[in-house]
Amino acid sequence: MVGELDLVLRYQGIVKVFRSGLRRRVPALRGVSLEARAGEILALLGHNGAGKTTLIKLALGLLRPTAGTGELLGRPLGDREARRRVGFQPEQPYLYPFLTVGETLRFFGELSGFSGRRLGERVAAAVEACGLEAVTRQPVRRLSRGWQQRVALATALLPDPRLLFLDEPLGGLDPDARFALKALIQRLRNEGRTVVLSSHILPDIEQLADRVALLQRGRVIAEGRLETLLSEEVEGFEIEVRGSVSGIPGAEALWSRSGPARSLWWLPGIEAVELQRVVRGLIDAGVQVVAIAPRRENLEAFFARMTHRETDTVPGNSDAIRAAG
Amino acid sequence: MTAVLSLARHTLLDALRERLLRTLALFLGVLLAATRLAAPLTLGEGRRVTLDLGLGLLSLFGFLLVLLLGTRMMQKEIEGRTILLVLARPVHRVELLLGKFLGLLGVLAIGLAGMLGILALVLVTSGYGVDASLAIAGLYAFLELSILSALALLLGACSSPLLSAFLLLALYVAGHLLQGLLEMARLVSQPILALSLKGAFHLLPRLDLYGCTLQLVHGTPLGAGEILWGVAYAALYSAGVLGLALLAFRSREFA
Repeated sequence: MVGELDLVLRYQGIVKVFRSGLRRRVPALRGVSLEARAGEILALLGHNGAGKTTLIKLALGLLRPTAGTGELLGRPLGDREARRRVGFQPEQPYLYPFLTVGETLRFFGELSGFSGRRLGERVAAAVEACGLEAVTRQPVRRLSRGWQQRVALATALLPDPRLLFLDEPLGGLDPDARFALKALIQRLRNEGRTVVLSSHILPDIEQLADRVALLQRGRVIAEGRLETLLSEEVEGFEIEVRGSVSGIPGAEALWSRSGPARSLWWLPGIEAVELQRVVRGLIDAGVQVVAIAPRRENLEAFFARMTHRETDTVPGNSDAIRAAG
Repeated sequence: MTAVLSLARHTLLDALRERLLRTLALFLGVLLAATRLAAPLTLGEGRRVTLDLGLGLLSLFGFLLVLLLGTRMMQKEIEGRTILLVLARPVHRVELLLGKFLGLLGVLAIGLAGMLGILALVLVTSGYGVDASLAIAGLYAFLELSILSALALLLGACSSPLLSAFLLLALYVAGHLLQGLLEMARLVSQPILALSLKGAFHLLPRLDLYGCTLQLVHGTPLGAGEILWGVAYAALYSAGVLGLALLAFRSREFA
């Protein structure tokens, strides 16, 4: 059971409707209730326009809810005092091109309420955390997108945040930078900070997130810990073989290479007894079985399953899956 | 307060690093210095011509600064979406507006001081001498521009930069013709029209109060009361306009 003190973010029945022109109303959120707790990574998933960024902007006071309430670090959503301990990295690195990296960090450090020695310490910590030592004197406009992304992340870390909002933080980063960022996010979580992130890169989310909330058309259609959301059921087996195989009954070739011949086969919905029979048949045919791996549902499959189901039925919030977390 | 000063310094830095403004300042500065070359053609009216040209250029430079910077200032933050990062920090919207306003005043102060310095140098090197009236003329130009800066921020918070620039130009012209409006109110026979004209007279910025700089440098002195009234009017009018800008800006959402 989680105590009230552990809650760092709470949305309760949030509705957000944007007005477009005089009459047109575009609903972005339709009664979202969601919580984030201390020391966890909560991932917001969903297609473009599902409402992920709107949720983040509501917490920061950049938008106001049409209906519903919420709390940010124990205060109302968007509260100025609460924002002192909240970091935010938007989906694009919106930075001032005329400033250098060092000036950018000092500016946002001052806006976070730091001055003097403390400001210097916070800037130094953010520079170190994001590996910006080599570029502090460079104008932001001369940096590549990936480096600008790092600068934006450093500005988010400046307030020594208890809660960090990262909107698509992994996009535009090279593999090294992505690896470093994932390690940083995990380190922040281990320090007891809360990270709320939205991303389309589902394998990364699967590695990082403690809980996910799947949004579709402004509703939370599934929410909970990954291990409870993803089905434990074995969907089938992947078999990697060495040797020439023209086909396996009921199996689909995932890839194959020639000289020396190797291939990977997918056997969906197969029972263990039947698997044994297939493997024996392969060995009898002189084929070497290199590996057999059961395939369970991953986040991508879960995402596809949920969003396609929702697209077909368009349910209300009552249909949402809420896993115990 | 730290946030206001930080935003003001940031606005100042932004303006100083803008190439267009540096070019404009250089061009007008050179033009101002070149007035010295016109001295032999002035038939003994060298001081008058230099002052007229110099203060005219000073006024033009200040107005262009407000027009180019002030009306674009908020839109630049909004269109560049840097406002998302600023307002995600513990910054109140009134602090953002005040910071921008003070930053713009800082740019104007530096620009006007530079231009006045060049003008003073031209006067001294031409053997005309400089007195305190030049500094008061500079102060009056600054007060007029501070009112226009507040108006530019208000317009910039509510409309596009182009429309804001057009409206600011209209207000600038109207603000210098307000005495005519009052005269017209006295002459019209319809009471509603007269009342409307008087209302417009009180609502529009009284820039005519600051139109006496030429008389001032040509020997018509200003009393301390007049100067204080000019300062107080600029402060109160700017505060009122900034209040309106805050009302327009506080309800704005950033999707």
